[in-house]
Amino acid sequence: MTVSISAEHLQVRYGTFTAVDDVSLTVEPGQFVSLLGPSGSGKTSVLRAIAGYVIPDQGRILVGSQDVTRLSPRFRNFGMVFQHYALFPNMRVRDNVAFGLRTRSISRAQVRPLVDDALELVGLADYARRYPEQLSGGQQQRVALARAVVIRPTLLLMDEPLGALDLRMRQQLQTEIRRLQRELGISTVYVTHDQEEAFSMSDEVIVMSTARISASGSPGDLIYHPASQFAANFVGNNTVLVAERAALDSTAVVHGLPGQTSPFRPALPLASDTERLLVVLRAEQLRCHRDPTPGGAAGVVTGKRFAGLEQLVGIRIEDQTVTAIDRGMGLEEGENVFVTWDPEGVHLIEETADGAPVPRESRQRAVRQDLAGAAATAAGGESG
Amino acid sequence: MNRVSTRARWGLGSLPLLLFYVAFFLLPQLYFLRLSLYRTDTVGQQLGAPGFQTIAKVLSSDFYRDAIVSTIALCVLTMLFTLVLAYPIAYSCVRSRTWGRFIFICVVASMFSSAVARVLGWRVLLAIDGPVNRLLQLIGLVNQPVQLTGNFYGVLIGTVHAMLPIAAIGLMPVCEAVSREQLEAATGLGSSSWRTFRTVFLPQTWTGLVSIGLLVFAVTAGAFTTPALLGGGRVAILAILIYTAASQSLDYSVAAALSLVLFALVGGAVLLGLVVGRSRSGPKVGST
Repeated sequence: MTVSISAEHLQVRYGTFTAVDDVSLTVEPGQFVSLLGPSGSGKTSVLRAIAGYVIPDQGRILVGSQDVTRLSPRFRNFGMVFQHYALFPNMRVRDNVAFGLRTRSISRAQVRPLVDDALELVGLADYARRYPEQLSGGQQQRVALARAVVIRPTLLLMDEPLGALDLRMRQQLQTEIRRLQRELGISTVYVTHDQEEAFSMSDEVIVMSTARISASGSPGDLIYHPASQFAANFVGNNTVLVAERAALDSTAVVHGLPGQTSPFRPALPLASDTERLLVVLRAEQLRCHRDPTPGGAAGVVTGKRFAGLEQLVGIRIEDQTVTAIDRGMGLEEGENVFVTWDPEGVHLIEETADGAPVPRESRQRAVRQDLAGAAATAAGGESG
Repeated sequence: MNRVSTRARWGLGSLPLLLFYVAFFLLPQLYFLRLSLYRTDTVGQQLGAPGFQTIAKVLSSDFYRDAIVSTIALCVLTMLFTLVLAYPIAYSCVRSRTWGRFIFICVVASMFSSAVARVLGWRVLLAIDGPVNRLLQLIGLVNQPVQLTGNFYGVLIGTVHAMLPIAAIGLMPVCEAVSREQLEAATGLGSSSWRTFRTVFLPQTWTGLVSIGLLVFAVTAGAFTTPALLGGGRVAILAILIYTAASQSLDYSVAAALSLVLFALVGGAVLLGLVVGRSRSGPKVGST
């Protein structure tokens, strides 16, 4: 499968409701692309349009150079995995997997080894004679996966395939799906609302909100270099500080967190239409101190929670709430803390007057600037 | 509150209902069917010793045998035509977002119309110079107007129409049970609509189809109004003959014997249906 599949300027409407608006994406051969977004963001509609179950009101679907926008799903040779498995309950596992081969008028003698291989691949070789209802949810979804890949699809489409499974099963299948996808080299589009799932599995993540693509890129880019305010807020536990153009031009000193001065300047000259500079601080870039620290912003711990294995703490600093990592300090709710951060290398987003991100060839980042008399403040970032 | 005591209490609670059923339904029925073992006089008094002579008389008479055959034919044909027509109605009602509700309202509305009004409507439509005959001539299917009422075909049209809404409503949950995702999955795997219907949809709806078919069969076997009015007294089926025997010739034992035959007919159909309905169901539920 050495063709790329792309969607160009898709628009899908249901009556007066626009579910998908001007969405374009490309899946390179063998690439794993996730569509990530909350329910109602249009991600499933994009998938269904690519699969052919919905005909888009505008836009095209291309397989290589062939336009398949109006081709029935029957002839697209795509594999689809549904959230609720959609196995045929009247057929044994073996016949479910064989279904897509039988429709291709492949002889029985050839079907059998292909089915056996596919079941082997998903670890269900011993379950061939069972009926779907005799399997657990995870096993059923594996059968669905085998059924979809056995036809060697040009594109594998998955619509929240793990949505109905419990956490452990989900993690196990994430690894398995990814391994299978790599092994077979099948281009894949994967719909999910689970950020961790999308980031851990994908080569590229496309974040959707209200019918449009609001951010896209590799998981690394999205986490470390988000391109828009939406992406910065969507991903992780980022704190976004806003600096107006006027303030930047006059001093190159940015007032950081409330009550704090952290001097830095952008590494690259600002674009002419930049109106605002967004400073994106990830939770691990913030440091907490129990004792008053030079340049530290004073705040109160308002809450604690675990994300993965990290203990996160929410801290209210005047009217802003930030998220930091506890780092074994054992902070308790209601405790007073001082928060510092090192501006060096912090990711910056430039925005125009109407809030659109300014496109950039290379990444904009902050450079620490030691101003006379402000050295003490900058030293607040003791980690360097 | 263990399970057994709860169940026992339920059994006790349904006892009055059971007594009511036995007293007012089962006993009169048995009392009436018992008459088939006797000969009766015109006021229903049984004559002579019990025996099978009345039943034998009914079964050996050509007239009654023909009636039994046409009753079976009517029930089977009504069942087949009704299912063939109701299946797509139920399917589109469940699946079509735009038309589903409209179709449903039409189906229910036709069910609530009175049998007499329905039949009189058909008599107008099927009349010798009625619209159906004119249409048949227009499209060249027949040269001469054909007799469509007062015979078996008229009755068949009437019973199919009467059964259609019942069957359609009965088949809706059956059709709904097959998820749209399954049908989409089949298409995506390269299956034609016909193959999807044959290998995915039909096997899953088969059991429901059979039970709705049985329902249609049984109700048609007992239908009286429609055959009486559309048959114009010329279509001899068991329900009408029972009525005639009991209320006109006042031969209660013959009426009872015919009832017994009808009862056996429906019972046999139900048994056959149970066997057929089982044969196609896929997974053996409960086994592991």
